[in-house]
Amino acid sequence: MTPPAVSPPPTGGDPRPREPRDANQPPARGTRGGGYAEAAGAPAGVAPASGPAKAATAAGAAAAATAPRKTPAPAVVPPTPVPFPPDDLKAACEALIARYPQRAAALIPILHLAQKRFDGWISPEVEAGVAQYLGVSDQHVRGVVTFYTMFNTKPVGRHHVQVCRTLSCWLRGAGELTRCLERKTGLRPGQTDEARRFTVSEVECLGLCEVAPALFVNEDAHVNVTPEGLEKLLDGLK
Amino acid sequence: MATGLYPQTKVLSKNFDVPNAHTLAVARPRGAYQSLEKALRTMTPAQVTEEVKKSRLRGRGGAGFPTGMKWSFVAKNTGKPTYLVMNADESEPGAFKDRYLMERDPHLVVEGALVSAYAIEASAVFIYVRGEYPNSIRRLEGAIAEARAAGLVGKDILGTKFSCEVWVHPGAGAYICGEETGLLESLEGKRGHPRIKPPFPAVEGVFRCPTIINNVETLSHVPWIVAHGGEAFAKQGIPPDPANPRSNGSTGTKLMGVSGQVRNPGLWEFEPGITLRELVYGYGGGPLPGRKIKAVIPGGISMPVLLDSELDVKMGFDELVKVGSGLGTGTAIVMDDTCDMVEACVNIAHFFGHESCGQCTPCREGCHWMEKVFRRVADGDGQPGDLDLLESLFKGIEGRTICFLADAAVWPVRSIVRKFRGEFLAKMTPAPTPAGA
Repeated sequence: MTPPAVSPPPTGGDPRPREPRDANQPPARGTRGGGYAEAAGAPAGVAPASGPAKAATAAGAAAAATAPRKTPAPAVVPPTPVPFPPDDLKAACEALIARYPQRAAALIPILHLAQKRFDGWISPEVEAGVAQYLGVSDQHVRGVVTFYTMFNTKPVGRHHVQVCRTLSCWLRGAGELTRCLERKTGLRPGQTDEARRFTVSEVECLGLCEVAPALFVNEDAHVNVTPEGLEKLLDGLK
Repeated sequence: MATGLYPQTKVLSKNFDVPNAHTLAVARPRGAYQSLEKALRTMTPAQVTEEVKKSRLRGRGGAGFPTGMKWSFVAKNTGKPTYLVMNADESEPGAFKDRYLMERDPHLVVEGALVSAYAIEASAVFIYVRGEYPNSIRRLEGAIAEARAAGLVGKDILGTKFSCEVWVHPGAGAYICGEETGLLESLEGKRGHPRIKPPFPAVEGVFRCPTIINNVETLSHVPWIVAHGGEAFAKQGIPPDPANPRSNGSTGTKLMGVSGQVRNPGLWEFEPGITLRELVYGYGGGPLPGRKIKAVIPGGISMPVLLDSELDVKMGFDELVKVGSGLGTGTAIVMDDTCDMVEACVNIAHFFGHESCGQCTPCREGCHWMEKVFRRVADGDGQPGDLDLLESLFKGIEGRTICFLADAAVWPVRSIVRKFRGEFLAKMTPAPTPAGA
């Protein structure tokens, strides 16, 4: 897979790139995950609902990158499933499945394993592989992957910086952190740089409200973050 | 901390500052699993439920439903297994109390789960932890493994006939999975779309089996209730209002926190009865230097805001409802005079728009619509009819959906629009003449 160039700034979701002001009308957008809006053939300029916030890092940008969608979508070629589970995940996957009375219930824990194993994101091929393994449809897995913001539907950088934007962090200066990130990395929420060093996301509440503002770099929480502290942190991430 | 403050009562938080309290070697000598032993050896499941009923324990996840009553709804003799689900999908903005429990005293959480599972005769417990809590997941899994090795989880616990498995199920980032039926769908490996009730989960829950879903903090109270009796628990906190037979009071202790624009954000444990003012100004340290507190949301993000002048209210379930708000998760968010309330509405509406599961049109469309109107008012592009438009949106969203997310989306912003009308009008161009204001 070739890493994508810096994706164009996503529209919507993030308030800054303004949309046409048609607030008297209900917005024509779906919600939770790019899947819905993409499927609905959202016109260019109307953001896939979840926009760049939370995991839409990838999902939002995915739709934006392929826009405009005015031309009919090309014929769909079903993805070739990856062999799943790979040998190193076999025992873990079987142990997970054994916990539940229904095989499909292990889907979310297994997707977490798969995402870690396959380069930090869930490709259509991985989706298909997991679907085959659990005996559910590709579409079911796709629906789940796009619903939950922690699953990435596009390749991400080695360091996935996720800034909490929700109220408590916002009140303590989360906005400055996002601006600092853009200054430092040139990336807006939802974007990944060409070398795949960083992906930047704005996410909803991380539950670190008493030590706000907070952010995650991959699975590591950083709390009471100042712009200066963030700059130092970024310099240390190679 | 200055003296003269409302006293803390450390029951759930007694091990929070004890080094390595997350290990069985430290936790067990400090009393972990003694209640499990007492329940299994000396009490029947019905007796445990009876003690919980007597305690008047109410759900700590936000709704405040009496726990003992919930347990009594479990369908018996169905020929299917019963499941206990612990809701650790603490996604409510401003709430972080369950994280403290899971990270700092996971054995208390596991014991609470096991004693409660015994009471409802469940064969397995699923602890649904939000994916953004990797440390909580690790700590809980570590605690469960230790407990299993010590014969406290699994088959024939402590040599009795009671067998129960405990599993941690990670979420993957969805606020809606804190809604109990959304959580069940997620646990089954689906998108977290809340279900229409009835059937209630106690009759048909996860995997179509009877299921009880309780918050982490709620179940963490159960070991103490078993050890000391329901009546002792009911004596703490705020007793039920004798004039109102339906009142359940706010008994026991409650983890309460403060975040946002205060000097000393944090988490403490009290018997309900502390006022919101003491919590915010006393424990929270009051406003940042040179600022004034403007508004406080008493519990999470989903409750109506209270003004600084309204803070002399006790932190209790019924007391906060009387002043038009709610206890919610008991974790307050403080906004000071530097906070632009219109921008705060944009932030809140954006959150709910992002987290709406998309099943019900009023919520899916309405939350984004609200955000757009707030956005244009914040940008100085507000139209004269915008406040009326917002009111009509509130009416069109609240109470018209399967689950409570839509109501939770309306309550905070509606209260802000009504209490800070002047701030909205000041941003409107051209400024409409404030009719009757």
